[in-house]
Amino acid sequence: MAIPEHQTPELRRKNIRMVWLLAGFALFIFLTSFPFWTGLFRIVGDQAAG
Amino acid sequence: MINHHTNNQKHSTSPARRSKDKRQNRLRIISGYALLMIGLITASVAQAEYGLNFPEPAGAVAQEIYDIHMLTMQIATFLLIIVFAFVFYSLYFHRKSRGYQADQHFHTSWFGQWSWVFVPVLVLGVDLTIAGKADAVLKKVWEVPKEENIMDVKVTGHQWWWEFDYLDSGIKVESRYIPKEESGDLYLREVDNRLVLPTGTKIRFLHTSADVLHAFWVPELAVKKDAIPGYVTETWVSLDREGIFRGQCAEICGTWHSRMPIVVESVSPERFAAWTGEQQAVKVAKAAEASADKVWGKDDLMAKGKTLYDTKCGACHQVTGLGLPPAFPALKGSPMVTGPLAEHLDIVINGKEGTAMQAWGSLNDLEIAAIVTYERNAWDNNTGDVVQPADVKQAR
Amino acid sequence: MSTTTMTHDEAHHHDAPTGWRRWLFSTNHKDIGTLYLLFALTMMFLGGASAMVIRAELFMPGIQLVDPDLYNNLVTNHALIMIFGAVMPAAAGLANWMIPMMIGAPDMALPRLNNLSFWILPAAATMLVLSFVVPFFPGGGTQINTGWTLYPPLSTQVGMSMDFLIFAIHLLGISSVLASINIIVTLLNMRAPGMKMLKMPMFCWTWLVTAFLLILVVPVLAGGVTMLLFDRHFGTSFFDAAGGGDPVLFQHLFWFFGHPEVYILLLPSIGVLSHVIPAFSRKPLFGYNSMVGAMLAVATIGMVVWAHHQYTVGMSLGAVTYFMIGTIIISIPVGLMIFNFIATMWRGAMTFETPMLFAVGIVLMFTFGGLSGVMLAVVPADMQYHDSMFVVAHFHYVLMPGAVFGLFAGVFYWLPKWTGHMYDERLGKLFFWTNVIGFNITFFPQHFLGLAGMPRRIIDYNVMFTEFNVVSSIGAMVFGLSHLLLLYIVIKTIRGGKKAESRSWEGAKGLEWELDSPPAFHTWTVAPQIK
Repeated sequence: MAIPEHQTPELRRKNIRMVWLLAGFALFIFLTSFPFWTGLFRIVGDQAAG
Repeated sequence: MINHHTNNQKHSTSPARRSKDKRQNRLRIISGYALLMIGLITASVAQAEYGLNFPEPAGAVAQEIYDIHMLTMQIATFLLIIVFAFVFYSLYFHRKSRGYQADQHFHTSWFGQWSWVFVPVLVLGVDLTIAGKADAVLKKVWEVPKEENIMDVKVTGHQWWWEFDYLDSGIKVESRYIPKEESGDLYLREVDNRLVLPTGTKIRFLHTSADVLHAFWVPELAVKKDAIPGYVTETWVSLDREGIFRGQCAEICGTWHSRMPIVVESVSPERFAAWTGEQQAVKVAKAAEASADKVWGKDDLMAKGKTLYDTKCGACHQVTGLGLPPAFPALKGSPMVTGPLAEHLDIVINGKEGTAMQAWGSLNDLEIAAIVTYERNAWDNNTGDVVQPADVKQAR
Repeated sequence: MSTTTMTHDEAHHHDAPTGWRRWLFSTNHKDIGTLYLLFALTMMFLGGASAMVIRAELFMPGIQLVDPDLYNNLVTNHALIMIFGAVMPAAAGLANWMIPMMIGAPDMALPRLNNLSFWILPAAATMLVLSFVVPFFPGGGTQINTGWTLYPPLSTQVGMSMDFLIFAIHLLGISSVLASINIIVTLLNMRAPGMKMLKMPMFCWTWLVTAFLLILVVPVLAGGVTMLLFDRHFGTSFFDAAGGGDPVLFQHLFWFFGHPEVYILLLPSIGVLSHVIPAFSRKPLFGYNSMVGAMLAVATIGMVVWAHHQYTVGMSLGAVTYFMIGTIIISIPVGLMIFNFIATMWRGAMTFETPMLFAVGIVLMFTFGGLSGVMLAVVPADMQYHDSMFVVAHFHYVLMPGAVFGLFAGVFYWLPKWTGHMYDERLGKLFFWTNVIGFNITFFPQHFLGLAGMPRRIIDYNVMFTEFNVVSSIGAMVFGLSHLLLLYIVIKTIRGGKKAESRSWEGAKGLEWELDSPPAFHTWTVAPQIK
């Protein structure tokens, strides 16, 4: 439960900024590395058409 | 290990003497292991009859594949020996217990400075040797020769049997495993109807599947290919010797993946022609029987139905009709089988989506009528229903 | 922050909490490292038990112990538990324990994130176990009879177990991505002043690359299984040819994750070796820079050769040629790594404590596995090897020495540091020999089985395959039971033993050996200066 007080505020900001960058990158891979959306849109399109 | 432990006992000999003892003991251990290894290798070579390598190839394509396998294996063995030799040399001579002083500057010597260049170059040389040969073989194996008179066989994987369609002659062979009681030592390597192929002919296999993934693999033919539902993949072979070659399904396909043997019977073109003739005669007779506007008796249908049910349905629903729940429901006392006839016919003809129950519509009317009649009366189901081919025709 | 300026309040925070709170709410990298390692040990026995059932069933032809679906489910579980439950958490445990101590940081960069990424694991493991258990209840559906590759359309036939498994994979993925983010941030931002990137200990380098690989590929697996979930329940047809989809697409997604995963399992152990071999050869690692370069090359090339797991799906000649050449090329950096290890031993003053025994075993057996890997890379020959027992033998020769023995070496190497006690060297050696001999008896004969024509993942086989299967199963029992000895050694060392010095091994180098054994609850609160 100890607060990580060994980090100076600057270091803490730097760390958290990098976390968001990496997490965003992981999310980006998740969303774009597979044709999930194209597939979904095609299905939605098919249902609307038919 | 025992020798090693005695070393740890305290005794009052001089340090020099102790280290000599130690060395002798270590030699004894090493020679012991060497003997053990030789023993193991001899033992495994003595087992040669059980197969240490691929079986003898049955055609040109298979031979090419066999040769490249041997080449890479020899290169690999050679490299392995070199690595082992260096490691064991080092393990023996560069030991602290021998009083060897570590060379703290080895990694900064010219060798240490430049090894990152010449090691990759050496490995690249080996790689190019392998890749060059592999590429040449690959071209021959991968691309099916574009020839007019190539013989086409469509290979369809089903859960859990193979269907072979000779596209040129229209013959269809259904190939299923034979239970242990009848096949004995060939259990899981023998089928009821073999894939008969002529020697000296280029043959193209077109692989596909009716349900899940399967893979066609006969080691003597060497070409393995996945059967993918909705897609057709192809391989080709040309057999140059007669014989019986056994393989099995290589891609996991559910419960009875182990029960999908493939048996290729390679025969001379003359015998193949004779076999083709026989099969066509049988096919014509069957079609005539099914299409005849005949009303069948219950006993005839039951007898026919039992044979058909046991081979085609028995793998899943079991010969006893008890099934293998939850994947394969029991038919004995099942509401589907004892209920309305129309639903029963529908599930047999069209299958049930999302389950392993496939569509059996490719069977002829008589066959379906016999199976359905059998299911509705066997195992105390006793509905008394007699289904005629005409009923099936109507239900389609 | 030095002790003289520490206020009373801060000092209070530094006390180690006690009882279950210490573990459940832990933000301490050492405690979380211990949790990871204990979790991995537990899962290793679970995965090992399923392997023992598999080998017992294959001991003789015929179906004796389990029914085919249960057998296939065990095959699936063995792989998933060993990869996601045992090897990856064990490597993460080593990373948690060692990285802050090695780079002179007081803790991981994100201690609370660290707590989260561990405590997701037990939840994921529960889901995984549930996927195994539900088919035994009425209405539970069929078992997962697909193998760990979960290829559709077979995986769309499976009952609700598959949904449990898909969510378990999601949780495992989230856990390892979070852990990776934490490790990357720690390594990039928390190094002691003066420790340049190219002065980092090799173990840190290997984990940096591993963590990046994880972030790159785990989301792809998550995407793949999500589509599978949609196909199963929401009427999509990503992988259903009848609906315009493509079953092979799943295989591409799976192996885009699956092949780099092999390096994810391998690299941390390569890192451990880069510490163990120099320590017991008493000279520095040979070719530090080329090691870093080789590792980056392996990771890069490893990302683009995934389809060598699917040579038989009917790709074009151009595609298979590319994947074949790419795969063969990987032997260059891997060969350089092996060369560097041998050159580190060369002209060293070696002694053979248990970690070093494992290290030497790895160099020899991993080379063997790597060479059979080159054989498998050759497409025409792979048409024979593919999906046969030869493949099973190959990847166990790569993953057991390459990943697991490396972790064993690391555990024995750092156990004195963690516990403050030396382990029993005689027992350690006994464990090594039973383990390695058992391993070889188990997997060496499987090469022959594969060449003779035995496919993998079959429950029942023809009598012609009996002999080697008997040998393999006997070896497997020895191999499996030998791990009880590991458990005994670890427990014995935790409870007591010869006092370990700060520098527990004569040749050990690095910041972690400057600390006490066992280290204080908080270490490097004052960052060391690296010259």
